[in-house]
Amino acid sequence: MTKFLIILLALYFLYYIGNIVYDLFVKKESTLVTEEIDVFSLVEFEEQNRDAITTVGIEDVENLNTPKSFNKKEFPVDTEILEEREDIEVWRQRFESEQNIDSFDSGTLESVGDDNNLDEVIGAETNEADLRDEAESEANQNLRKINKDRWFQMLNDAETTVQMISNTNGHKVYQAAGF
Amino acid sequence: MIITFATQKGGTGKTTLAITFANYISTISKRKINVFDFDYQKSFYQKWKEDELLDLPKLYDVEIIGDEVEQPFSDYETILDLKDNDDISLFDLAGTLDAKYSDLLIYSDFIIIPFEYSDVSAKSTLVFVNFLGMLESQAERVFIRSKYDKGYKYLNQEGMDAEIQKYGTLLKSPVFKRNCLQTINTRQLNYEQKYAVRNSFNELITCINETLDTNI
Repeated sequence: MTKFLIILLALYFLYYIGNIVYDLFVKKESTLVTEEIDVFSLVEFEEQNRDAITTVGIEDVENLNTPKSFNKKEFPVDTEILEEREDIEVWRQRFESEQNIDSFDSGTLESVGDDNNLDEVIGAETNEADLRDEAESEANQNLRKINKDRWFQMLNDAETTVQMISNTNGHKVYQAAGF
Repeated sequence: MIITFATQKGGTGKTTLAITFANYISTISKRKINVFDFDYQKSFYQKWKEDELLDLPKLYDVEIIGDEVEQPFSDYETILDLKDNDDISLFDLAGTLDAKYSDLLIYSDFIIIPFEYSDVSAKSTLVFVNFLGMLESQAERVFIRSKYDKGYKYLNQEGMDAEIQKYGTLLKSPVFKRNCLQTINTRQLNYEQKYAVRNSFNELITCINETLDTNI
């Protein structure tokens, strides 16, 4: 065991001495890289563009080349309205078709009056009756809804006006409002 | 004549009492009896239909009033006809008060209100009484103790009786809780069932006769 340790130590020292010798004599010295410093002067540039800077127009600004990140829209403009306003043809067509519908109704009614066609008169009358029925059923429905609301209101009132007047071991006696 | 079994509380025995009363009165009265099941559950009607299988003649007809009919008596003529008619029209209502009951509750001759002395039932009965008052119902209110337990001491009975008597007639004889009433049908009353309701219903019939000055 001691032999082994002595050999190990001897090997270590040899390695250590070898390293020192390598560092002192064999290893090449590293060359220091000196940074080259560039000095730029803006004096020439300034003198060349002195006139151009004084006259900055709106077009110069608008045509300025900017990075993409500068193109963010801070105030979104709704272009749809403008487009619709421009498309006047669509509006005209719409208006005309509406006018057609209006004139169609009044036309049929006029023709009924003019021709005295019995079928059409009957048709118009039943139409009127239908409208009347519709109005009546609507009124009835409204009335029914009001009645239903009133009914529930009364139920609530009936409930809230009942009061407990005595309690014998949990056996309660109530009192009605006496309507 | 219109007799309506109604109260705001479900499970107090409205339908059982209505069936029993219809059976009972059909055995003692010569008047024609028409039953209208106005309950959305249609318990009376279903029982009556079920009993068609029995080999017993039917005592009366049962009609149902459909759910789709919003206001069945809105023309008043039908209900006034039923009221003035000598026939007995018996209505069984649901435990939930619906707006379509309004005309019936107003124009019935009698409203039979079964009740119990439990807190919930006692309160509901008075709510119903209040409600009838608000509707300005013309009906005579008759209160009947239902599912009454002989062996039980109802501590609030005295107070509740005194309160209830302010608003109508309280029948002295209660309808006791009995097994035989669980197996009721619409075709007949057996001896036991008759015995169970005899006192209360005789009292009720006397009350009806006295109020309307008639003999049913």
